[in-house]
Amino acid sequence: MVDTDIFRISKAEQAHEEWAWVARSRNQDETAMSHLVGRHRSRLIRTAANLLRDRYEAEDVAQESFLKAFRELHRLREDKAFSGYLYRICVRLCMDRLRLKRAEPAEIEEVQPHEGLSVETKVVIEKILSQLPYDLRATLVLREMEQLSYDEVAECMHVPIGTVRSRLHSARERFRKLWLEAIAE
Amino acid sequence: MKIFWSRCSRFSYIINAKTEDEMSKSELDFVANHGNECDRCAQYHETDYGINLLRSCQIEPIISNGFNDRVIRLARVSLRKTAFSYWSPALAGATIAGLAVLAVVQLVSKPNQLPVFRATGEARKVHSPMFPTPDSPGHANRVQ
Repeated sequence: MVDTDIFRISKAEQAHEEWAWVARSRNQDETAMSHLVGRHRSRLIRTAANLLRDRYEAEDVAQESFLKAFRELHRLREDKAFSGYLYRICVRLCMDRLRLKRAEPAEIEEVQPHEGLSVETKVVIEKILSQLPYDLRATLVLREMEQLSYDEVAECMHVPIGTVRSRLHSARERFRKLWLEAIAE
Repeated sequence: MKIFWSRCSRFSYIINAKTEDEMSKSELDFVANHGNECDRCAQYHETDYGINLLRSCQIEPIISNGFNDRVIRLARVSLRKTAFSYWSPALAGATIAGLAVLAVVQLVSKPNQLPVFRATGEARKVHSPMFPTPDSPGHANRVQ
């Protein structure tokens, strides 16, 4: 019980700290900006890497997201909403990149073995993901890998929640078909 | 309400639309029962394994050493550019207005120094008190 309270207090403190940094960043305080970058960079790069399936491009997108967020900070009404605002920018930038890349043949990055997952299985999954259209793939990744709720996916992708549901349905259906084909090979 | 042509299409709809924790009790029962009686659907349901594996396929991020510094440096440049492009129309307007005001002040304060056009070759008649001419004012009085 006591531990939970301590955790809550530290969470609240962290939130207050972040609001203060955002408020200072509005006045172009570089120390505050640096704190915000340090706090959010891992999550942003991980999300971008999962969406783009390219860890090097992910860093570029994360950097671009921070720049855009700082440049357009005046559009953010509440300091509290910075985290979601930054995340949405990142997802939209990834979507833009996926949209541009869709015509290009997909390249499968070097695959690292993961605990409990063979390299072959991972290659199959990467191949299937690369075969999905970019909007289905992004929806599936945000829901299954990033564990976002339907509302959060809808907000990030700027589409109605019904569209998220139907995209997720189509994405799972296609994934299953491709998975069965890959297993049969 | 959704109309299904067969139990297989209903099965396919449910497992693609929802994960197990999102299904109602009746849907869970239906999926379990139909999976037992239809081999094709049971095989299809096994692909859940692949979807579940997606969660373990997260890419671990690589963060380069100077990431923070690079972002801050670029943000500084970007914010300066933004500020300049935001204020530049106002600065241009203010400069033009300032120049216009200066020109008006100059014209109003020295009106006599304006250049006067004179056609070339036109003689000017100047009345001088030192050298009076017959048509100078007061010449007749002086002669008398």
